[in-house]
This record gives sequence, structure tokens and C-alpha cells, in this order.
Amino acid sequence: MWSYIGRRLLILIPVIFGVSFLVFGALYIIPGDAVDRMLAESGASAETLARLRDQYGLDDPFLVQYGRFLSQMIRFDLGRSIITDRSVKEQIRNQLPATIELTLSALMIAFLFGVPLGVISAINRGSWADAIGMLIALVGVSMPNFWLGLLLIMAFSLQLGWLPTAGTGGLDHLILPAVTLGFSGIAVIARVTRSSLLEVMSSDFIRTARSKGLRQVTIIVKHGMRNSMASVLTIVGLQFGALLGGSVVVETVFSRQGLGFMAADAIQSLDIILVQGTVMLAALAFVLVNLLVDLSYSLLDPRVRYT
Amino acid sequence: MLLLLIFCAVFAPVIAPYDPLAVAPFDILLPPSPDHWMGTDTLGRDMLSRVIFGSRVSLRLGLVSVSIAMSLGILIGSLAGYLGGWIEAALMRVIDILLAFPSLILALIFVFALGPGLTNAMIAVGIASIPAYARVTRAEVLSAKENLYVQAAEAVGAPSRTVMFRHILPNIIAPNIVIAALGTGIAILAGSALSFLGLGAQAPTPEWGLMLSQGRGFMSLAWWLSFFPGLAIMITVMALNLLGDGLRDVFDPRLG
Repeated sequence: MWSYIGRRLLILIPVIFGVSFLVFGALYIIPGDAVDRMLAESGASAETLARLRDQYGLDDPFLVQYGRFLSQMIRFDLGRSIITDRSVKEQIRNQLPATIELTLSALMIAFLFGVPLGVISAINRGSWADAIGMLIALVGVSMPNFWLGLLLIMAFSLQLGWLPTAGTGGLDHLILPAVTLGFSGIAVIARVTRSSLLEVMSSDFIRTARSKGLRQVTIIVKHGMRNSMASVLTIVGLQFGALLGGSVVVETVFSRQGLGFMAADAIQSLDIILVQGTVMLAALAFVLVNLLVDLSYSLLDPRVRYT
Repeated sequence: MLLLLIFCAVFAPVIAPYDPLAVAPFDILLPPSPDHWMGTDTLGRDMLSRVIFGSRVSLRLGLVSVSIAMSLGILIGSLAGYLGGWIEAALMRVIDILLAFPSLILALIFVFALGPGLTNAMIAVGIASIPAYARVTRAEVLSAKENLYVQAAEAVGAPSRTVMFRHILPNIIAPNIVIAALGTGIAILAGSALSFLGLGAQAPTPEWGLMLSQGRGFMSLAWWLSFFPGLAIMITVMALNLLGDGLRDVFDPRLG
């Protein structure tokens, strides 16, 4: 197990290098660099421009700049924002809790509603319950989350006045964004749960369990669910990525504090350093969550052994 | 449903009751009525006409980005699968790197680098979707390579290009078509999200995501501005998902 984890972490190193190269490279090729673009409108003098370019080392060759970027990353120093001159690490630290709160709540909603929906569809295969379940799933994967967010605001905030339209705060500020972000996850998890449970339910050990006269609930929960959880967990891991991406949109819709809102804002204002830091963090988090998912298979399924 | 959409996109100038860009200062924010089925926007433009013309933009966005993703994905996947060795290792590491990003965030990076705009959004969404095609193609090529007829073709000295295009390629088309159908819907969602964030289509283009974002500030006054473009996106993506599911059932009944 430990050697497996070690090997997986080793494989991650080149991937993370690649990720940093892509993030740096993609933002390096921006036509006219950040300072020029940022200051073009404010009409800064040529001297100010030159001083800022020098301060951020924008005139150095590509490899020198990339090397500096890498060494900063290794020291967890994400630099300072070009626009606000505040430390990127500090800004991320301020925004991170709100995004974690949102994505975890959304993931919980997706899991708590998606799994039962999939199970109900699978055990009632072909019935109206299955049809309704799969229709909800189809709507969920087809509905743009920013539209769902706006519809929920219109219904629950503007019409009924039950929940606030926007902002950050207690539970009442969290409900609508979390439902918005989690809804497509419900759909995806329901579909995967259904198909993997259907596959498991046709296997021999389920027939054996049935012939032993076990109750239907025991068969589904103890024998069926446990064996279909590996596929569900894989999807939960991948959903985490979708949630991170979705948080950019959902936090914008609800003008809610968080990394996504900050990143969208940084992109609009061309704050390259801030974008680099946030995106690197998102990619790292995504890679690590998928590693954790891979490692957790053995907890669910004792047949899985890592060598 | 999908045919209706394609019909709307192709015949938009004929079926749209008004010019989607025509500003009418005396008709601003009219609610839905027999004259304007979906109401009018803040500049008095007819929403129905804008939604109809929007189908052109969205379908183009979906098709162009999927074409980019599919052609590059098939190229990378088949080179990796067929040639093997260090080329395969290098190409698949590139794919691993792309997969390390949540796809919308990857699209955001590219659109940030290329600059906002509809064309750049299509390219960004296209590049972000390459991994799915590349991985499936590689897997299919690897298994197709083991077929006797491929080995026979190689044994009689057929050049790699012939083997690749004539014997292997037909095997990888079906799964890629299924991914493409589902991928077009995903691309339309991603593209409209970029437009919603102000990074895709720019005003006054009648693009659904952009229209939604413009209607956002008027939710309490004019619900129709945010309602209809979103409905159009959902119906389009739903139609493409149904098509994708149907194609999957046809090409790969095991997955149904």
C-alpha cells in the first residue's frame, strides 16, 4: 500500500511540472504582457511601465521567468497580485474557506440525493419511478448551472423572499448556491449509481443472497451497494473537478465570496499572477482528490490490493 | 427536437419575426405578448428572434469545438496507440497534464491566454475536450491492432498509412461519434458559461449565455430576459444528450 502511494506520488511530480508549465506558458503568450495591458487604459507613463516591468521581471527570457515561477511555487510563494499588490497566498487563504464550504455542501447534496435516486431507479427498472428518476437526471446534466441559479433566485429570493439573493454569510446564504452547484452532480451520480447497481444486481452472488432468503433491503444495501460504490466514488472524484469549475460560475451568479469569484474577477482584470496561483491550486486539489479516490477503493472493496 | 433546432439555425433569417439586432427604443422590456412571444430586451430587441438566431451561434460553437477536440484527439490517440514507444509515452503525458485540470478551468486558462471572444472560446473549449477523444482512440487502436486482418495487412507489407486509415480508423469512428454527440452538448454548456462570464461571445451577438448574463440585472423587472435563453440552452443540450445516449445504445449495447 505505502509503496503504491509512493509510486503514485512520484508519477504526480512530472504531471505537476507539466501543469505548471502549461499554466505559466499559456499566460506567458498573452499578446502584450500584463502590465502593458493593465496600464494601457490608465495612461501610465513610460517610466512607470518600465519600473513595473522590471519589478515583475517581465523582460527576462522565458526560461528565467519560468524558473522563477517554479522556485516560487516550490516554496509555496505565489507572488503578489499585479493589481492590488497583495500577496496571492493571503488572498487565496481568505477566499478558500468559502469555496470549500460551497463545494463540500454541493458534493454532499449531489451524493445524498444522487445515490438514492439511482438506487430507486435501478430497483424499479422500467417502471414510472425509473422514468422519473432518469428524467430528473437528464434535466440535471442538460441544465446550465448559471440558469438554474437565476431561476432559484427568481423563485426563492425575489418571489417568495425566503432566502437572500446574493452574498456570503450563514446557512441561508449557502442553500441556493449549494443546490445550484450540486444539481448536475445529483444527475451524474444517479446515472452512474443506477447503471453500476444494475450490473451488480445481475451477478451470481446476488442470486445466492436471494436464494438464502435475505431481505431485499439487505441484499441491496449490503451486497449490491457495496459493490457498486467503486464506480460511484470514481464519479464523485471527477465531480469534484466539475464543482471546482462550476464554482467560478455559481459564485459569480450569487456574487458570493470564494476562489471562483476571485478567479473570474482576476481574469476580467488581467491579474495574471492571481490567475496563475488560483489555477495551480485548483489543478493540484483536483489531482490529489483523484489520488485519494483511487486509494479509497480498497476500503470499499477488500479485493482491491495495491502492489 | 434536434431537427427543429437545426431548422431554426438554418432558416433563422426566414422564421425570425424581427431583426435580432434591431434596436427599438419605444419597445423596451415588453413582457411576452402576441407581438413579441418572448418579450423584448433592454434595447427593445425581440427576444424570440434573438433566441432563434442564438441557435446558430450555439450550434456553431458546439460543432466547431467538438471538431477541434475530435480531430486533435483522434490524431493524438491514434499516433500514440499505433506508434507506441516514446511517442506514446510523451503524448499520453500531455493528455495526463490536460486531465489534471477541471475542464472548465482549462478552458478558462486558454480563453484568458487567447483573449475573450466567440472564436477563442470555441478553441478553448475544443482544446479542453481533447483528452476524452485521445484516450478512447488510443484504447481502440491498441485493441484493433491485435486483429488478425491488421496483422495480415502489416505482414503483406502495407504501408503504415494504409493500415492506419483503411484498417484501423473505421474501428475508432463509432465510439468517437458517441462521445462527439454527448460532447457537443457539454461544449455548448461550457461555451455559454464562458459567454456568461463575459469571456465568450461579445455584445451584440445573440448568444444564449451572454443574453442570460445581460438579463441578470433585470430579474425582478423582466424574468423573460433570463428565462428563455436558458430554456433554449437546456433543450438543445438535452436533445444532444438523448442523441448521444441513443447512439451509444446502437453502437455499444453493453453500456445501455
